[in-house]
Amino acid sequence: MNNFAVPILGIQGIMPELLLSLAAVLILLLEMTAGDREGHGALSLSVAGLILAFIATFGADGKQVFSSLLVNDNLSALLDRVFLMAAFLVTLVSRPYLANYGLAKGEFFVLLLLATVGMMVMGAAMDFITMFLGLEMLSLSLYVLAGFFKKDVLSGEAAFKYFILGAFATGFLVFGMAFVFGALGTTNFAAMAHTLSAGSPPFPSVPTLLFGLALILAGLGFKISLVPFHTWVPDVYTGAPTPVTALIATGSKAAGFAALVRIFMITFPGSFQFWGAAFWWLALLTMIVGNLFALVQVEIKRMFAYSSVANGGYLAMAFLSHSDVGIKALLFYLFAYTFMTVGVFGVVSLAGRRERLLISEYAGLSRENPFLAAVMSLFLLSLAGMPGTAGFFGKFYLFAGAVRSGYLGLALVGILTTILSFYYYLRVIVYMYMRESEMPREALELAGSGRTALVLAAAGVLILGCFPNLIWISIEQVF
Amino acid sequence: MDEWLSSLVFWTLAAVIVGSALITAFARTLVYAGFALLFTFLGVMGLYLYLAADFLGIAQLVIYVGGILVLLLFGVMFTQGGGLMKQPGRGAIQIPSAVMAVGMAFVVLLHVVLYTPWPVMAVERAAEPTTRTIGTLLLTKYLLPFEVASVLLLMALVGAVVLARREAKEQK
Amino acid sequence: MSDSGPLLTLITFLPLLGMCAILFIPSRQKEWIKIVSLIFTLPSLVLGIKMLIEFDPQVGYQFIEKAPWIPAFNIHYYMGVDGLSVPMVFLTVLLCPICVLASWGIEDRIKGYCAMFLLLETGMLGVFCALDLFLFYVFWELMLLPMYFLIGIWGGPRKEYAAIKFFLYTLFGSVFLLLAVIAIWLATSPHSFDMTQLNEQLLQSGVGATFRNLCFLAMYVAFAVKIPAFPFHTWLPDAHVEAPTAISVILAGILLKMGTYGILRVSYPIFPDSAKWFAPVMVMIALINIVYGSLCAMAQTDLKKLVAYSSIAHMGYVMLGMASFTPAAMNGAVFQMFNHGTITAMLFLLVGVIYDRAHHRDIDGFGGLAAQTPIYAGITSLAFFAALGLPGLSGFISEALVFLGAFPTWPIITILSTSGIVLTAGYMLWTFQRIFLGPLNEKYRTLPEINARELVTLVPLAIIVLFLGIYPAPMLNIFDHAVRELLNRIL
Repeated sequence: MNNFAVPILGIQGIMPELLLSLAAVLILLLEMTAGDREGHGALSLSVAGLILAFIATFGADGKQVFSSLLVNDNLSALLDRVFLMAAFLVTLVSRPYLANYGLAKGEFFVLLLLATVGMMVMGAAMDFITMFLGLEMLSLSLYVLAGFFKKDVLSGEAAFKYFILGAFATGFLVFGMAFVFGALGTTNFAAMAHTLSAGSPPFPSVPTLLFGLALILAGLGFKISLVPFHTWVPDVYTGAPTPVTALIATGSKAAGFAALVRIFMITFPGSFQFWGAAFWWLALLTMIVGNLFALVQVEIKRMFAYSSVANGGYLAMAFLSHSDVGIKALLFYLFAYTFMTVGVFGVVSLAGRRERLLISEYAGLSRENPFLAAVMSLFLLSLAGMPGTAGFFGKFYLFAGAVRSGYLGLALVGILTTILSFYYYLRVIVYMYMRESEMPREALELAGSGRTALVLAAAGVLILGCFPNLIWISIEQVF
Repeated sequence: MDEWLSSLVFWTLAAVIVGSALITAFARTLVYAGFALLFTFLGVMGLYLYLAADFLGIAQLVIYVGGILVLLLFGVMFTQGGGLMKQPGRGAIQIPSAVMAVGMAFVVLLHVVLYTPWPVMAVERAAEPTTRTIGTLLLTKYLLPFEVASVLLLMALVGAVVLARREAKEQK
Repeated sequence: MSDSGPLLTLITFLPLLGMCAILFIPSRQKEWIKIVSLIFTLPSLVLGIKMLIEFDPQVGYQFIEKAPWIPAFNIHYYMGVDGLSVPMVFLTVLLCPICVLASWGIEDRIKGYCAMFLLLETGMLGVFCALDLFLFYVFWELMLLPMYFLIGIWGGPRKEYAAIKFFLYTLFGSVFLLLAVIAIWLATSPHSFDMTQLNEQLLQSGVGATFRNLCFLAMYVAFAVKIPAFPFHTWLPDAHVEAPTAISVILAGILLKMGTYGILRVSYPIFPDSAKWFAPVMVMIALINIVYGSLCAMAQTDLKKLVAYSSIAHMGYVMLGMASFTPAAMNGAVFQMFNHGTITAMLFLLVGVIYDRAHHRDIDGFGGLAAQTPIYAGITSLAFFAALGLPGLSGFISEALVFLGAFPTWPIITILSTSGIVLTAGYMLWTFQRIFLGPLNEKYRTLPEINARELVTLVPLAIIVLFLGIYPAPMLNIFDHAVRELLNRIL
């Protein structure tokens, strides 16, 4: 037993993850013992866990913990905050939403918390092994959550499609990781970067590595739903319970970008000439296809599904323009995007008495519930990029970064598609405010936690829209 | 002589794996496909053992053959009863496109395999069972993935319960 | 320089504070919502008057506030006013309380209405006070939205069409503005958005004439949509007709000025040589605006549409003055911006008064109202005469200045443009005759006279129109220095 070297533990380095897992286990115990029917206990425990984890992210010290399998740097802390905020808002929206369908069960929150843990592990991973485990934790929880409405055929279809295509993507990813391992003989990012910088083997001459990276790109491209890996998006986003859709659109996507940043930008910066061109086309296609398809949708969740695809394109453009501004713009946009997207799906969760409303059924919402209509307008305008909202600065940074890195054409396409997006975002506002509903409905009541979530998201959108520097400062510490 | 023998072992295993995989893909009944898959799994196990990865080989046997494959065959028995499968989508478009996709993948893989300067390591053949090393690593260097995997399994359990549980009563 | 604290910030953001306050009032308390929004427009008016008094016409930018906003892009929160902006700020803070009063009749979703209105006020004031190009753009865009909602939700029967048309036109312009802003930022080094320095910085970085002309053109499109200059004017009649009275007042009184203000504040100082290069085109557009606008106005039977087209014509005078580059013409143009703001505001308020009573605006559907509503007829005649440029009223001074100053530069076009005066006099008097003179239309035997609240909205404007018509020097003094400095830069 003398070779049993004690590993460098770093419990403080995984504090946020630990706290969330603990909260999840406590909810399970509570469920078993107390029989928490209405989900109040689960909600409070989740909220407490998320808030504590959020506080714990401020303890980032930049150290690598657990034999360099995880890193606890500013980037991971910042990403953790994105994930935690998304999860926090989604949790708050979920309780009233689930209660509406009589399904406010603790397991939902357990899965939600564990999905968040998965995202955080992914964002902090410094090794293929941890990254893969994080991804699996995230994906498996989301597959189950997407099918949480067992009585609903479309929810089942969403879970099934998501699972099958997700498993395929994971297969690509693992295959790619295996090839990279084969080429470099390690799974650790720092070790890979070290091997590459030492010049042996010289990078371009290793087809294995390129092939592996291409497979990884395809696998992660599925997660962040870049065109042409986006075909699952409309059905899954529409079929899944709406708060789950919100989490898939924000947290899961952000985790995918986190992995991209860790692998391509930090570990393989020298290979940019190889993946840069691929990303150029992916970003271009994603922006165009996402926006064009969003234009013709009649169902609101489907429209937001394509809008989320389009936003993935903007993020990909920021990722591509990896200049000083571009990567910061990516992180800023992740924050802005999280607030407005969770907000939008939050409103969609709470606005309908049933799932999957048509856009035209939002007519008269401003009379049924002026609050919902007002915050919905705010989120929509932010998505469209109106000044005074987070989306404006998000887009501004994105386009400025792209222009600075010399992607003028891409930036122009981005601006043009943004203008296009005004049409479909404004259409919802037109319905809410300028058309009357065909049958007068009684006022729509909002449960407390749902309202809190929307107010918080709206505040986030406005604060980032007026004082973008608040977050920009902490982003500048990352790089 | 030694070189020759090791090549023979490899190519035999490879032939078993690829052949049985082909049978799996083209078999007319699910039962045949399932049994052919057994040989694929066994072949892969052979490869692991051949590479001196004894633990992986045994795990392959226990999990894939003992667990997954048996479950799969049970599934086949209980549902279709092993009858003839309908062969979906073997039209004029599917076959050429499949051939093209597979062909391209093959060419790319071949290129990758042939033009990579593979790092060759001198491996000492099975001086001791690998279980000890793996166990030590799992509890030292890879402690964190080990623990994360346990959380992952917990999550999977909860998820499976959520999906499989019969609703107690229709709640309104 | 003055030590009056963050005066411009207070003026600009007090309405926004009011908007936040309103959001906390329950929507059932309709009276309180209106009262609170009125209360929150008043401090800006008081501070605006204070600014008017403390402003020193001989100094350039004053009441400056500057703080870094987005350091990564060298963007500042940079506010300040000079002689060009002061009249516009004053006009805005003056018209806003009046418009709240004029909106007293609105009952439907009043909370949203007042919130949007106050947001609009902040946006407008911000545009007039911003000295950072990026900040200017943000306020410029910020204003677009509440306007869209105000027309689209509280407008007339074709509100949706009018609102979307307004929005698309303005958005179209904004994109060009944004492109120009980004181009300028990229061309300067170090990258800068400081409007007061951009000209020098661009010259230093040695950008070519083509670049400058292109930027000028892009900005011109954005501003021309707002003016609205031919051929970007077609949104205006629709928007005006469908918008509620108070919003028409804001549209005509303030929003249109933003177009010309933008040219004077942004395009001219940054690209002086392009301004000269573009002047021949601009003067032609001004002529078209004047003649075409007047002719269209003459053909209208809808009173509000008539006023809307007359606005197009009157903005033509402003453009004529701006394109002439003589002190008299430029002073006239700026003065006309202010005067048109007060006069058109009166006209739209008056249209609103009669529409609230008769529920239609068909010019031929009235007749002989002078006998029934003499006070209303009196004030209307004042506004009409001011609009057609009767000596003794403020409109005359500015139009006369424009023509006097423009004549040396563009003699033929100026002569052609004076036909606008004749046409305006024609349709204004004809309209007055059809509505107020002749035998009283029996339908309106019981038409109530203008009430006290409506008088409160009109009388201050009437006093200003009269006062500046007789003694324009105080106002002219405010911007004369700034205008001359601008001219020095161009010539």
